[in-house]
Amino acid sequence: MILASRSCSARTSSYRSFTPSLYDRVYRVSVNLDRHTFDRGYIERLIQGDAEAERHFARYFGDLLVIKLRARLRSPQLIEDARQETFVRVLHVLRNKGGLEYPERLGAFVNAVCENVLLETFRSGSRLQQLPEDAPEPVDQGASAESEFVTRERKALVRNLLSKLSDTDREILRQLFLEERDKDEICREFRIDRDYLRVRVHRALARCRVVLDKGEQTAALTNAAGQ
Amino acid sequence: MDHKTAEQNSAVEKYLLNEFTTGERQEFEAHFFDCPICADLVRQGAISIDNIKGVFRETPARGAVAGRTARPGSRWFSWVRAPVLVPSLAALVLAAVVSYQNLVSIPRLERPLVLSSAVLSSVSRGVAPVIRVDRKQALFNLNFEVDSPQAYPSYQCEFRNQVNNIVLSVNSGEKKVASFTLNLLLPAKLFPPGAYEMVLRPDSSPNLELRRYDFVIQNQGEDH
Ligand SMILES: [Zn+2]
Repeated sequence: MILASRSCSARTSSYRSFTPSLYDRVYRVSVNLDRHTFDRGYIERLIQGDAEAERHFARYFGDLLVIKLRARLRSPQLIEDARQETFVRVLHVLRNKGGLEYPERLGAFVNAVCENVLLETFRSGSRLQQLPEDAPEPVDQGASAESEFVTRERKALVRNLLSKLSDTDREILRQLFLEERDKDEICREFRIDRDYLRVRVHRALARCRVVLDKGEQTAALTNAAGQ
Repeated sequence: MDHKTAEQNSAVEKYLLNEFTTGERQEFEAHFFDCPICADLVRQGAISIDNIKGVFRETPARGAVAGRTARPGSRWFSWVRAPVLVPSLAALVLAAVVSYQNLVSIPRLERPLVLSSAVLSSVSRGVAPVIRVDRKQALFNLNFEVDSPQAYPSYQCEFRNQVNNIVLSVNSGEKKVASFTLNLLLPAKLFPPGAYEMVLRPDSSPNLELRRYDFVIQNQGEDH
C-alpha cells in the first residue's frame, strides 16, 4: 500500500476542511447512521468531491476513528490530528490512484491508514521531555474533557434511564465508566463474575441505545413538524 | 475475525470495556471498520458510555464510594516514588524519567552519562536480556518497550528481585499515548547483580498487570 508522506497541515487545505468545529456543527453523530454501501459509485463520488458523499464519509468514519484513536491516544489534540491526517491520506490515495481495487473494503483501508498514522504518532512521541520537579500538575484533558458524543439532550435521556436502574447497576456503571476502576475489583465488591459484569453492561447499553434512538427520532419529528 | 466470531465472543462489549489485548483490539477494529453491524454497535455503545459518564460527572458519588474517585498520590507529581522497602535510601534521587537521547547531563552528577539504546520487550518466554551496569556510575538506564492495550494517564513500574522483594517502585509520569518507550534512570545501588522483573500497571488500577519484563543485572567487565 502506498501512502502519502506525512505533511498534513500543508495538504489539508487542498481538501474540504474537516476541522473539529465544522465536524461538530455539521457531522455531529446521531445514534443511528444511515448505512451506505461502499461501492465503486461511492468511491467515485468521493474522488469527485461530492459534498454528500464526503459528509457521509467524514461522519461515518470520523466517529469510528475517534473511538479507535482515543483508546490509544490521551490528548484530544493528538486524536483530532490523527483523524484529520487519516482523512487527508485516504482521500489523497483515492484521488491519486483513481479508486480502490476492492471498493467494498473502504473501511479496512481507512483502518489501515489510521494504523500507520498511529504508529507515526507513537514514534514521534517517544522523544520525551524531562519535566522539572516543580512543574504544575497538568490537566488531564483526555480523561475529563467531554467527548463530542455528549449532548445536553442525550444526557437528559440517559439521566432518566439511569434513575430507573437499580442502585447496584447504577453504582457498577459509575465505577466502571467514570472511576475506571479495575474490573476484577468491581466483580469482587458486587460478587459477580466477569462474564456477568459484561452481561449487565450489555443490557444497560442496549437500554441506553433504545432510549437515545427514540429520543432522536422524536426530536427529528418535532423538528420536521416545526419546519 | 468474522461477524459470527465477533458476536459469539461479545467482541463489542469487550472492545468498549477495553478487555482486549492489543492484538485482539486490532483484529476487531479491522473487522468493525468493514462490518456495518458491529460498527453501529460500537458507535452506539460509545455514545451511550460517554453520555453515562457525562451524567455521572454531574452527579455526586454516593458516600460509600466517594473516596475512591480521588486517589491521592496517583497524579503526576508523584512520579518519583520512594521504594516501599528501602526507606533508608529515600533521600537519594532514586529514579528519573529521562529524555530519550544518547547523552544527558544529570543534575548532581559530575560526568555526563552515555545512555543505552537497548530496549527491553515484555516477557515472551525467551532468555532474559543481560544489562551490564557500570558501578562507577550512581545511575544506569533501562528502556522498556510499552504497548498497553489502552492509553492510561500514567503507569506504575514495580521492580522485584529474584526473591520477589520489591526493590523500587516508580511512576512513569504522564503519558499521552498507549505505545511508547519508557526510559528510566535507576540507582545502581538498588540493583546488585541478579535476576529482576519489572511489572507494569496502570496507576489508576494497581491490581491490573499490563506487562512484565525480565532482565538480569551484571557488573560491567564481569562475565558469568
Ligand atoms: Zn460484525
